[in-house]
Amino acid sequence: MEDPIRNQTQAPAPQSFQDVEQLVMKLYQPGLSPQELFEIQRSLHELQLSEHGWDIANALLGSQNQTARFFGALTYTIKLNSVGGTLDSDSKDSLEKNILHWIVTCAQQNDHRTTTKLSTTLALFYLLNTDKLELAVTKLTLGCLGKETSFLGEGFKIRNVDKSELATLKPDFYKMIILFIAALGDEAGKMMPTLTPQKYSQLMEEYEKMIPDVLFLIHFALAEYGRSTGDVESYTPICNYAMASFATINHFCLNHGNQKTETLTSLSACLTASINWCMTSLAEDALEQLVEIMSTGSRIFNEAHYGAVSQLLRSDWAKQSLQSLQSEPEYESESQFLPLMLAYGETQVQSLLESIHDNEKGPAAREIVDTMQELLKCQGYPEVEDQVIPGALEFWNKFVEDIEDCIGEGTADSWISYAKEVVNVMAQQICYKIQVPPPLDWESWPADDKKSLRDFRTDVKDLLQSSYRIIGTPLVELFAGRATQAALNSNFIRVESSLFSLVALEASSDEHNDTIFASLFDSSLYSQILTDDDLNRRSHSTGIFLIGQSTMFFARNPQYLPAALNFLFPSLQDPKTSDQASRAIHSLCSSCRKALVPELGNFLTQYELFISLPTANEFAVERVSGAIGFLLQALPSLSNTISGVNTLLTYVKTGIASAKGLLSQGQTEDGRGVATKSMRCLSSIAKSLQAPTDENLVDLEAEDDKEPVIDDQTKQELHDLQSRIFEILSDTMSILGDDGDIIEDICSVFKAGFTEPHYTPFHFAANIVVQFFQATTITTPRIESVLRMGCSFLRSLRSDPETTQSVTALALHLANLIQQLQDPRADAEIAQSLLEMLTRFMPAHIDTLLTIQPVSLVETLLGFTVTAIEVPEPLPKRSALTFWNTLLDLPPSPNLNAVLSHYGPTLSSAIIGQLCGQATRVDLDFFVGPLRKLVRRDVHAKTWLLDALAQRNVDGVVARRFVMQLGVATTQRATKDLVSAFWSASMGVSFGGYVPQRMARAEMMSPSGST
Amino acid sequence: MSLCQNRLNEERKQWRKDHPFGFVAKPARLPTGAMDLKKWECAVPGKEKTIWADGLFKLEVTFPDEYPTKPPKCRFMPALFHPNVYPSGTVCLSILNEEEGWKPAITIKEILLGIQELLNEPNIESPAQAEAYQLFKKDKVAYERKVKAVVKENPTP
Repeated sequence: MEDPIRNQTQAPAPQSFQDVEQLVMKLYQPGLSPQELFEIQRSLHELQLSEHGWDIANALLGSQNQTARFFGALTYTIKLNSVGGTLDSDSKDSLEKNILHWIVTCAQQNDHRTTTKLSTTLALFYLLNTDKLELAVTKLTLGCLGKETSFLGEGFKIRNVDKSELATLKPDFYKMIILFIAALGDEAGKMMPTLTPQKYSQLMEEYEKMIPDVLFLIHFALAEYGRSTGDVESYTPICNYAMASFATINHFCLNHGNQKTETLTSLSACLTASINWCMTSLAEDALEQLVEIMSTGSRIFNEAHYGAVSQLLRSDWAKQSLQSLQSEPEYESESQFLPLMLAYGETQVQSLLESIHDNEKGPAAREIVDTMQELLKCQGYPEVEDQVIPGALEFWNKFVEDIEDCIGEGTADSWISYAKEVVNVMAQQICYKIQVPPPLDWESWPADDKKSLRDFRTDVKDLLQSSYRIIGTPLVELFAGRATQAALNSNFIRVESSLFSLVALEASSDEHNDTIFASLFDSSLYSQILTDDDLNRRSHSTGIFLIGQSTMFFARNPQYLPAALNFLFPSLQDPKTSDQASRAIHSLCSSCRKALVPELGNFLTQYELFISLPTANEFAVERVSGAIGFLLQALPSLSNTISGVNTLLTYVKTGIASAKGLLSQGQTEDGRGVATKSMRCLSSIAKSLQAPTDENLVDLEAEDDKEPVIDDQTKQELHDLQSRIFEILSDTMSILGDDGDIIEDICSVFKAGFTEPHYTPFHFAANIVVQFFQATTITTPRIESVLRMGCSFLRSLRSDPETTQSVTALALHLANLIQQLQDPRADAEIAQSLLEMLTRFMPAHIDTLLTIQPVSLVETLLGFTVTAIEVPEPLPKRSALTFWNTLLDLPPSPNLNAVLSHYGPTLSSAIIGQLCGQATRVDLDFFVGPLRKLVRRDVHAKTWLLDALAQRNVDGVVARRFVMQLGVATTQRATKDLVSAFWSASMGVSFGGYVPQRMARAEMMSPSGST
Repeated sequence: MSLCQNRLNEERKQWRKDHPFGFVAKPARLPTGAMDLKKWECAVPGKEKTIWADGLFKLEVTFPDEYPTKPPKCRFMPALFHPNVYPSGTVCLSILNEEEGWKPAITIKEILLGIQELLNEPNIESPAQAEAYQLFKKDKVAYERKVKAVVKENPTP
């Protein structure tokens, strides 16, 4: 079909080169309509790709018009990209000759634009024709020297030419050669990812052969022009381009090349010339390349090179750059001073330190380190105004990490004291830089700036921590001193940054620092920052954080606890600090519970005050209640603990009563909120009353485990307390049994007691737990959490006659829940939890489970476990298989043998059905254990499996072989491989011979193999 | 130096040079002060404008000797309430699975960013813990409430 637009606007096709030239000129004329432009472009593009493309390119390059010549160069590139890699030998020779001719001609005509384009074209030609690559720069240079390529003798290379002859080249010509070298690097970089491995290695091989010539020319440019005092304006770009080419070649050699000594020597010589050029010119372009070269790798650098860079970093240029950075930090984006400093620091930190005491090198090293210190003194807030500091931080992170490495490896030497001194000064400066602006200014900051400063402070923590590992206690002393001094001067911004630095050090756990922290916590600082003043709000908050982090200090020095708590409790009243204060109180009480026991009365008073405050949200209340729970746990007398818990229960009970009232008035949300807060509080108390792990070593299997002697009165008190707790739980259930969060909290109250010894407030008698369990149905929200709690309960129960009744009741209720659910697919998550709880009856309570009455309930339970294997949902399937895997591991017993005889065939059928293609690959691992154990466990298993295979029409020979192999598979791995192979064959993934007959027949009937 | 150590040194250098805001990643130190390059202490912030925002979650990243041929193991310390985090704290993420999406070119930065992404976009096909998975599937509101409580317990400093 014809293109109507084209027909309307199509110009007559060009008939001669003159027509083409005119069309090119027209293309660049202003005022063309888009349609005209489109048409001309299409017409020219067709010509470029036509069989006359090369001739058109040559004709245009011979034009007097620069635009036409440029289009000629472009035509060469397009044509090369199209057919440049498929030329025969003669065409290649002729094409090479032509491009070389035109590039020299255009350079002579001072047509820089076309020359530059042709450099890329020529580079592309050589990269597409790698057999010619080795002599590429040689031929171009000879062309520029006006020599015919016939001048080339056997094995002649441009590096053999007399340098005086090269010196006769006009700067423009040399610049073009260097541009060509750069283009070779750039184009090769673009091309490499698209090449096949074979073509890639071919290109690498040929490219490498050319490198000595390339390095010779680069070195010549940098050495001759770089030193010249002549036409600096012409020479500067040549040297800058030479450095860019050198950076590319250096990267290639160090990352891809074979790194012959000869190559490394040439690279090193070029590097010397490069550094000299940088020092002479101070050109930012050249310096940027030097940074790139330094970052590529240090292998070509020798001491002299680093010495020269060090000299550059101490030069007047460096001093001026530093000054500019300090006064106008935005100068950072213009100057290469900082990147050069960082690149130098990346490799030279250790060397700098090692030369500190050297008479000759020491002063230079100190000067560099001093400069890096100065970089921390740029104006403005970090990242927001001061853009220098991220780079400086990079250097200092490297600096401290290297020192740490030396200390860790035992190679730190006499320089360590100097290093510590330097790090100390740096840390002080950092502490200054992390200061946050006054509150009013801060509020006016945009969110992004606030985030930047916050992130900077996070980053700085690492640096300060590393610094502490190097310096140790003096750094703690420094910050603590700075904080107290600043407090005396009411400089709360400085107080905050000092406290923040102390938090970053995490140094309070080390007892060597106890004296310092003691004087800090004992000072007036904390009472000063407690005031309501907005100015010190942040220091107040950071101060709380420091206390919360210093639990080990307070555990060693409990005499400072009252003062800390006197600071923390009032902080609960402030919405901005209450969250953090409750967290700190919780940590302190957990770690220092015994020391704080005498303060219990005070805590309860404070609790009463706090609980009615608006800041007493569910999180804060949960933590403070838990904190008091820790103290109650530490009381030496159970009676006292019971009394304390009773006091706290009063608040919980009041809360639930209040929730009840709100709910009855229709204030559902508020009612739920109050109830949730009360239940969180109760759950937190229960958890805190758990004995710490080092005290709670109850051995469930120990026979001689004697229960503690408790007098009858205490027993009664405990009984009353537990009744009260259960009453609260039941009450809550009755009003909010439809609330998942409440159910979960109730479960956590029970769970907290499972691992505790008898005669502790939250260790309920088994029948009480069962009673709660029995109150649930399949529609109870978060029934999964209840079932998980059931798992923990079963795990905590001993197997003895006393518990049998409870376990039986649990099993019966579980069967009841399963009957309510009916199908595992009805709710896969509940089914999974039911199956997990069933598994928890093993090993201790399996006999109880298998003997519940009526027997039909056992069938319900076990039938459910078999059905769950067959459902598509992965989680119940896996849990059901885990159940059978555990069951088949148990020692034989009459009950178990009966179960196996009864369920063996259906279990085998379910497993085989799944392996015949219903299971997914990721499920297969779960089948391995049950299958392997079944075959080993019961003599009838093989018959059951063969029957199941026959039911699924698996070929008899195949079935027998599979079952036989299962029987002899010696390892789990071998069974896994068998299962996997069988499943793959069933799925038609492989052709191992296991394909069920029915499937095989169906496949035969379908021409595409698809059923 | 082994390939693993070379790569980890390079990762360390790159991280120092440039890392996403609010993230932490650094090799752990042994009690002697020597660096354990194969164990990194990391922290991933919750993504802004998600329920995980304002939280900072600590992770331990352990690199095998075969790294980068084999992926590192990432473990939340302490274990995190999330459908794709095992009760042990180990993260279940395809790019950390040798047989799934792991590629030697994946950097620590990409791993941590991937974990940050996973926080708010759990992969429900690969549940790793029942608690968070079940709640996520059945009661999103309660799930989100729980996540907010987790965030509150792990606030960004």
